[in-house]
Amino acid sequence: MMSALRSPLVGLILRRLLMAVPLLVVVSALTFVLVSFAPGDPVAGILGPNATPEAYERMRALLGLGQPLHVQYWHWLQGALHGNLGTSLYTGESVSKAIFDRSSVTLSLAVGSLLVSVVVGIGLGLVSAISRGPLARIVDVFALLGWALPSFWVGAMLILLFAVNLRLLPATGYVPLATSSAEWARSLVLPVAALSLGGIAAVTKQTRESFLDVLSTEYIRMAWANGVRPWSIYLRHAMKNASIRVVTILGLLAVGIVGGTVLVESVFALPGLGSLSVRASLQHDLPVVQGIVVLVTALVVVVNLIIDIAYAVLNPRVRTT
Amino acid sequence: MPSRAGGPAGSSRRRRARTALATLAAAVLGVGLLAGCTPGTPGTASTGGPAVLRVGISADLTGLNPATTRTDRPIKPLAYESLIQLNSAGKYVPGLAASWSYFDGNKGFELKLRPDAKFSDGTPVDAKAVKAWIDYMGVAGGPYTGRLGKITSIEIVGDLTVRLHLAAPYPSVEGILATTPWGQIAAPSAVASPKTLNTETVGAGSYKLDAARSVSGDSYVFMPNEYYYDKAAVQWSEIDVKVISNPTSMLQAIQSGQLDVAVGNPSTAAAAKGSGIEVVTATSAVETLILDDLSKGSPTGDLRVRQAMNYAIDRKALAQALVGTYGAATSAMSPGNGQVPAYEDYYAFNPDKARTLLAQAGYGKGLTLKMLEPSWKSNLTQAVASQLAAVGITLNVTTAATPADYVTQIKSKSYAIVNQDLPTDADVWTVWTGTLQPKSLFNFTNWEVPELSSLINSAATSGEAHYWTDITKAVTEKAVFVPLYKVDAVYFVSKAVTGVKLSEASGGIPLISDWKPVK
Repeated sequence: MMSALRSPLVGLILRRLLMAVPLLVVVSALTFVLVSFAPGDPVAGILGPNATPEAYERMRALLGLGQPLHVQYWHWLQGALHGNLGTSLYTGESVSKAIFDRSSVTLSLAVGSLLVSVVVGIGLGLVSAISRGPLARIVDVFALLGWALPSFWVGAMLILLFAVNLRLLPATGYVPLATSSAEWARSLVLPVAALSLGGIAAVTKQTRESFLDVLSTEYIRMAWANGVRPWSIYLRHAMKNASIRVVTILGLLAVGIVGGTVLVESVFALPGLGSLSVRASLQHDLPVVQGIVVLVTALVVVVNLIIDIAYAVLNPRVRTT
Repeated sequence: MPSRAGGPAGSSRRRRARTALATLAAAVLGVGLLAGCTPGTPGTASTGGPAVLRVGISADLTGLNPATTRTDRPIKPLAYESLIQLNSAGKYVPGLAASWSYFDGNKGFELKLRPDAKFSDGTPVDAKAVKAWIDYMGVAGGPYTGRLGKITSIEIVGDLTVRLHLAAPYPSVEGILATTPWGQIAAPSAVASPKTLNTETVGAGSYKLDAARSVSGDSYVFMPNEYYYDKAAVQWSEIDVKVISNPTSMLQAIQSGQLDVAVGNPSTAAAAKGSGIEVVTATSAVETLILDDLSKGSPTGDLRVRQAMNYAIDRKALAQALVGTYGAATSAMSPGNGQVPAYEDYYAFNPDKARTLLAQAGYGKGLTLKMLEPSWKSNLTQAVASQLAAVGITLNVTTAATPADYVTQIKSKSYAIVNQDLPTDADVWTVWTGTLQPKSLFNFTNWEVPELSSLINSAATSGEAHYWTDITKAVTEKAVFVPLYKVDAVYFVSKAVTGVKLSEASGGIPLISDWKPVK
């Protein structure tokens, strides 16, 4: 047990988790200040222009908005440390519940897109690296298109083709997994396709370049010379080393995909965290914005930690530093 | 050195790689198509038994508690039927109240409730419940608190009769009860514990919210209210309401069969018609420049300046450019009970006359006015600004980034002109109390136009119908506003539903109780 704790990898994990705490506090405080200073009064947005002055004051007092900023933040922080993220200024709904109801949608979309990006991207990158000639060119062009085409446009085109014209898949909406696994999958096909295109392009390019570098190394040439079978060379000998650079970009890709869910959720009318964050930002619904920012920050920390662990597993030299 | 991909061995490897790739692609496509062919495709109404109605709305409900949120017609009335309803033709018809009348020079209002109405918790809709609700509305601090004027007392006369006593004449109580949450009463048990109203509905409407299957901001599922007094009027086994803010996504949802009725948009209406979807429209609001300061000494306090502004605007060109066939130019406001069609062209476009009037008013060299625009109407502001600039009126425009910012800026009382759309379901009295009355938000300098005040005072006590059109005429002749054009509400209707009707007097808002499945 003690030797395990002294392991560099465990040390890395513990250091990252400890750093996450002050990071979350700083991010939440910054968000609080930025949203508070954004133009517009949330009470004015809630009550509209025709409410009486007394109604404004009553609502401000009810929502605790009359207190100094640092007092409001302190109350929020105390609640957050006890698992209470507050209530929405607009709907009165618990922020935790609002986030929980929607997080499965965004997670399904983001994880699905990441998986598709990795599997398809690595596959295409591998094929492109092995082949020469037209196939490699086609993959290159596809990668370029994937980077260039915005996900929301791709989404709209996919809806037009597969939902409106062919009526094969739904145009909008999300079906929870608990309701029907088949419908859940169907509701995610088009959004995941739209969101993963850019990721596939990035992973394809990175995989291809990485494989080309690894395949030109001495030990691979030796494997060819020794008559090792091709797929054994690609998948057993080259893949692990080529994956190191691919894993490096996965962290950035994951964060980019989470950010990309905002537009895709709008196009497909998915009830995820992206659409909730847009609505809450426009409404100055501070507790909801705070809750989402804290959650996303925690997710980014976890994703980066997983990437670091994967990197250490793939590259033993990292474990000793 | 072995070739990575060259030579005879390499070409064999390439063939195998291509074969593997093609096989993989076929497998992925096959799985995708198989998933697409799975039975139970969403987007089709159930064909056996009572139908499910699927409605798309573009703006989310402002919350579930009627007392602290907006009316959210036509959705929230599904669960919270009003005491008095505004039907799709713009007429006030009985809801939970069977009849009503004014007394004491419009300082009193009596409601007689229907005897068989019940809330969704099974408790009766009686005079005590109405009193409890109105008492709660007066202190809830929501957007409409204070809109009914000062209520001095609420008298209960028997089980089913309620009398409101007001401090001042109020000739539009039925309008307030029909179009604001004052009439969307909730059960006394919920009023006693208002937090429950944030998460569930406890009204006397034909449906009630299924909170477990609803996601705030995204989708709301309504099931029939087992205690509703008119079972025959309940046409649907379930009503699913989906929030889709993107107009293109809304169109595609109804085109693909996922929705039966959708709130449409002029930008997508042509495409909807082209795909065989019925497009139903009616005027819902008048896009208007509201002049905040008509006090003596201010530029817009001079009638000639206000009339010049009206003559300077080419409303037909503006409407054509900004709303196309889904609107029409108008020089007059269009309140539900005070429409004067003959005044819609009162200020025909005449920039020369505008310059003459400005010169007569002493502004021959031009003047500058501060204007607040919402960021989502910048096209309109640019067009108006250029037309006013042509006659010598320069607009110094401040842009509000969000709706909350917009309201905050209005309250700053810094602007001579504010862009606002006036809904056509608001009656003349509501327009007066909301935008013209001294001390209202848009009349922060407490200006008064004597002819208008005289008409208002007479209308307040008598409520005779001709006063409402007289007031509309006076507002137009005195150029109190600068109305620009009417804007249509647009609804898309699939072949599965019939009965979707709108009208200008209803504010372009339908009654869902009119909708029936096509058999």
